This record gives sequence, structure tokens and C-alpha cells, in this order.
Amino acid sequence: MTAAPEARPEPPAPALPGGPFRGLRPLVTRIHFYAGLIVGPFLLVAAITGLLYTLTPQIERWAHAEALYAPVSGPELPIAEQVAAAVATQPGLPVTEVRPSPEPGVTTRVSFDADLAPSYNRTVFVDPYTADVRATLDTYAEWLPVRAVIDNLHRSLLLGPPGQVYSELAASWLAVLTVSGLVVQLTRRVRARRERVLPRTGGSPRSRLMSWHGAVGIWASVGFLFLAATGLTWSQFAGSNVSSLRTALDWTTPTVSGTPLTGSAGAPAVGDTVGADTALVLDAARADGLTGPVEVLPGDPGEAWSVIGTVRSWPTRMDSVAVDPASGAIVDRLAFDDWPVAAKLARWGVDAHMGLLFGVANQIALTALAAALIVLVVWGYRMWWLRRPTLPGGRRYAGPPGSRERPAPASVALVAGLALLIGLAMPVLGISLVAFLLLDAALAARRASTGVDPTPATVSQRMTRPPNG
Amino acid sequence: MIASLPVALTLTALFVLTGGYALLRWSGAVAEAAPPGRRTSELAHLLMSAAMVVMTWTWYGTTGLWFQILLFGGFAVFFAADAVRRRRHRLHGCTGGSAHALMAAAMVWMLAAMPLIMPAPVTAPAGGGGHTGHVGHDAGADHAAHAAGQAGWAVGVTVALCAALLAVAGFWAVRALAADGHGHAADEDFPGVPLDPAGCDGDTHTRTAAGAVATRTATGAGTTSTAVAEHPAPRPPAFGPRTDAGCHALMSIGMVLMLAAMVAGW
Repeated sequence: MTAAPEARPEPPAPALPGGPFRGLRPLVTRIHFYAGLIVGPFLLVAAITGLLYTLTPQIERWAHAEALYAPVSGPELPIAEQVAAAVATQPGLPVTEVRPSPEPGVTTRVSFDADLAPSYNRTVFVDPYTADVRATLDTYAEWLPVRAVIDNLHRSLLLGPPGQVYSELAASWLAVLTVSGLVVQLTRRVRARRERVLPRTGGSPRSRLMSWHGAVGIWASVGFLFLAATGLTWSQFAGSNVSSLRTALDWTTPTVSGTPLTGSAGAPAVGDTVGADTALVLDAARADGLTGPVEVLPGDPGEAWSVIGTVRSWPTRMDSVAVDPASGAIVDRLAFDDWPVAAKLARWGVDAHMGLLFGVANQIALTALAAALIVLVVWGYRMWWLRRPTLPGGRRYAGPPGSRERPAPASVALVAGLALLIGLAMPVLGISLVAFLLLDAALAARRASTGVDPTPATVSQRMTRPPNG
Repeated sequence: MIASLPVALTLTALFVLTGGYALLRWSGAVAEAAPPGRRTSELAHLLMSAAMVVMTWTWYGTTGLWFQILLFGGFAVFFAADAVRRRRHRLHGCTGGSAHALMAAAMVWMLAAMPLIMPAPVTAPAGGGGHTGHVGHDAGADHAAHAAGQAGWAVGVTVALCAALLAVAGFWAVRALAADGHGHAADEDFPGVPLDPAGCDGDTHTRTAAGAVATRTATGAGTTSTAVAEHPAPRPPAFGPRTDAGCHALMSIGMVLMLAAMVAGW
């Protein structure tokens, strides 16, 4: 190999030989750089709110202790009596869910449709030993208010549907950043292979920082991809595509809810009889072998009521039965073991993302991932800062590494083709990418037309031009 | 969304072809650091082709619809402004720029007028999926507000637009058949090239292709002739004015077919 003469000025964008995909790695590096630079703040917010979310079980137990717990003061009263006590406090409202006390010292929950915001219910917490109402809260599905706030903060910054775009943007680009980061880290030149997975202790501050950034990224990459994939299933636009795909492939979660009754009108979920009906349905489900914590979901007129296991920690216990509330007859059964594999994986993935699947260990893992994401973003910005040109009169910021090497058209086409396909599946990513490309072109055109930069160039090229060049 | 499978497959094949071509052209433009106007033009072709393929098979939600209307509206303004600029400076490419503007405007019309030109009511799928026990979607309101029934005036506008697009397709077809590999500037249909009429003379350099330009850029100003001389007999590029015009003709015909399928309810 011949060394390049030192005195020869480095061309701004050499087209180096190296096959049809030459310049692919620098191109991926640039994508990683720009994506991190632009999406970093969104990732930071998602990681911080996600970190907060991992602590919600403890926060919830502390903040809502009065509602969640009741002193054991004797044998439990019949469920009918507990439900009736709750119904008496919410006259005229239909019952949407009953969660009998799952263990000693824990309250029974009775939820009502109070015409609140979508997914919100009014939930009455009943002392199972005295049938006294301990608290009435507006809950977000099964989650108490404190978790609802943190959940919405993590998902939409409390801005409602428009705010969901932020988390979708973060989740979409997290996957891109992870994959591109893996490519960069696994293909970079190192003195020893261990440097790809372990941080260096020597060298300049910037090289040490880069080494830590790469090593931590490698270790966290699987977790990041998992969080991105599961997070996107909740997203507004990519989530729609995921739902369509699951429906098309018959991967939807099976349910016994809404099972129609033949020869029976069912039972209304309003009025004094709800308690007795709940007891009848629950007893039938217990007699059929459904054990452990459950929820009773009243059906619409003409539909069976369903009783579903609520244990989402490993091993998942979400068997369900459909019961005729008039006769107590079991009309349908669905064991969790009989769910399609894809539905099970989706269930476990979602529960792991929420920190429910493996309890405290799950929370610790999520905390570590959130912390890793936070430091990676901060280190990324720090690396950028350390690379800034320092010569007086020069540019004040640094461009991406490798931007002087011009990629081959095939490399650009490969990345662009992938981006197009991914952009169609993840629209927020696609739209943000298009917006960046247009902005880049507009800035380049503006600079070219104003004579600031006689050569129309991309942002990356401008940002990396040497101060004296 | 096109109900007729043969029509849908035809449209898909056509726009996958033009989209693939635009992808290659855009990649080449990015790789050779072409003027931003040209990159934007190629990107417009790529996005338009992709949008047409998606539109063939599914409905857009409200958000996606409005984003595209803004995007292609922006492209229409961009092409129109460039055509005006070229006309003002008596440069080549004014007609091509106008044709581009018309195609982008037709795209906007297609998206915006869909509820008014289709005979059957259509609805976009609800946004977002959900999971038991974790309420992820209160935002399922991303439905396109598609009304039922055709409006006569909208159908009339669509028919007129189809006629104009057919004329545009003819214009491009003639250029595809008439232009030789060196007869017209490759850049003349790409907005953003320098306004200096001398820039038109530089077309030969551009068309000798990426290699010459890359060499010129790499070696710096003032060495252009040397750089070109290094390639005394350059191989004719695979893509050029002829293929570009052919791509534009195909896109115009595809848009006519899509509009006709919408109006006819195919």
C-alpha cells in the first residue's frame, strides 16, 4: 500500500475505489450522525419518561395506597355485596369491569362507564371485608391515575394524539440509529476485536468517549431494537400498519369477549342485579377451573360475560371463559396456551416493554436500557462538541465523520431503497426523512444562490469543510 | 384504492418501474453532489411514484393525505417557479418544468378531490393498534373524510386534467423518441441548474457523466478540460434525456390511468 503524500491537499469528496458499494460505511456513519443529532432530544425525552415509567409500580403503590389496600379485618364478604356497595355510589352508570380482590389486604375494583375521555373509567375501590368504599378514582383502563399520567407523558407528553408523534419519531429512529450504530461499530478498524464490545481505557478523551459510546451501544442494541419494535406497535401510524399486518396474517389476540348467547338475553350491567350476576358468573368461572386474579367483563345485551385471568407476569395466566349471566353456563373457553404463537409473543413483548413480565428484574433491565440511552445521547453530543473546529474564523461545529468520501450511486440506492420501504412501513420516519432531504436541498440552494458557497453542497459537505477550505 | 386487480397490478408495475428509475437517478445525483434543484426533482419523481403505488392499494388517513397535499403542492410550486425563471431568462427546460408542475398539481388534485370523483364512498383504516391492558390508542381518528358520490364539476376538471396529462405524455414521448443522447441538455429538465446561459453549454460536461464531473470536482476548478480529456471516448450513459423523457411519459400515462380508474370506479 502506498501512503498518500502529506503535502497533497485532501480532495473534498474523493470517489474511492472499492466495488459498487464503495462509500457505504461512511454513508451509514453519516446517517447515524445526523439521525442522532436531530432525533437525540426526542430520544432523551423518551428515555427519561421511560425511566420514570419503570418506577411506576412502586410510585403507584405509594401514591394510591389508600385505594389499593385495606386492612384484613375478617373474612371477605361475598362479591355480590362488594359490587352492590360500589354500584350504590354510582347510580345509573353501567359497570364495565369488576376485579375481585386478588389477595388478602387488597381492595376490590368496580369500574363504571362514566362517559369520560376514551379509555378512562370511574373505578370504585371497595374494602372486601367491610364493603366500604375506600376511594373513587378515574382510571386509565386498569391503571391508576399516577401511572396514567406517566404513561401519557412517555407516550404523548400529555399532548394527546398530536403528542404521540414524538414517541413514534423516537421509536422509529431508535431502530435506525441502533442498526446504523451496529454497522459502524462492528466494521470500524480496531487494534483488537475486544475493542468492539469493550470500552478503551486509554487514548484521547474523544477516542475514549467514542469507545464507550460504541461499546455501550453494542450491549444495549438488542434491548433498543426490542423497545423500538414493541413501542411502535402502540404508535399512531406505524401501529396501524402493524395492526393491519397482524390481521392479515391472523396474528390478532383471540378473545371470548362479545360471545353471542343463543336462547338467552344475557343480563344488563346496570342496577341492583349486577352484584348477583357478577357472583354467578365468577362462581361459574371458578368452578370451571379459572383460578388466580381475574377480571369480570359484563357483555352487551345478548352477549356472554367474560372472565379473564389478569396475571401478566411470567408465567402468564390469561385463560378466559365466556359465561351466560342468566344461567351460569360456560359458553366458550380460551386457554392462553391455545393463543397463536404470534399473539403470545406480542403479549409478552408488550408486557416486557411495560416492565410487567419479569417483575423487578424486568424493571431493572428497563432502567438500565433507559439509562444507557440517556448516556449514549449525551455522549453523542459530547463527541460532536469535542470534534468541533477550533481555529479562529472557522466553522463552529463539526460535521459527520467520513463525509468526505463520496458514496457510490449503488450505495446511495441501497440505503435509499431500504429507507423507502421502511418509510412506508413507518410513516413518521419516512416523513421526517423527506423533510430533512428537502431542508438539506433548500439550504444548499440558498447558500449557492447567495454566493456563500459557490458549489452547491449538502449539509454534510458544508459542515465538514475545513475552516480554511 | 383501485378495486380492479388488473388495473391495480398495471399501475403498480408502471410506478414501480418509474420509481426504480427515479431511485437510481436520485442516487446518482446524490452521489455526484448534483445541484440541489436536480436532487429535489429526482426526489419528487421517486416520492410521486411511491405515493401512487401506495394509493393504488390503500387509502391514506387524514394526516397522510394532508402531508402529501402539502408535499406535492410544494413540488408543484417548485417546478412552476423554475419554469417561470427559465422562461424569464430564456433558458431551455421551460416547457419541461411546466409539464412537471402540471403533473405535481395533478397529484394534488388526485389526493384532494378523491372523495368527489369516486363513485363509491371510501374510508381510510383506523389508525393504530392496541393491546389488552395497555391503552395505546386514543388517536384512532386518523380517518380520511371521504364523502360519497361524484360531483359533476370535479369529474369535469378531472377529465380536463386527463386530457392535459395525455398531451404532456405525448410531449415527453416525442422527446424520448426524438432526442439523441447528446441533443439536449440532461439538466435542462432539472430545476436548479445555474441561470447563467453559459451553464447550458456545460451540459456536455454533465452528460459526459458523473465521472467527468467527479473528476472536475475532485481536482478543483480550472482543470475541467484536462479532466474531460482523460476520457476521450466516454461510454454513453445508460440514463439520459431519452430515458428521462420516457419515464416522464410513463408517469403521465399512469396518472391518467389512475384518474380514469377513480372516476370509473374500477
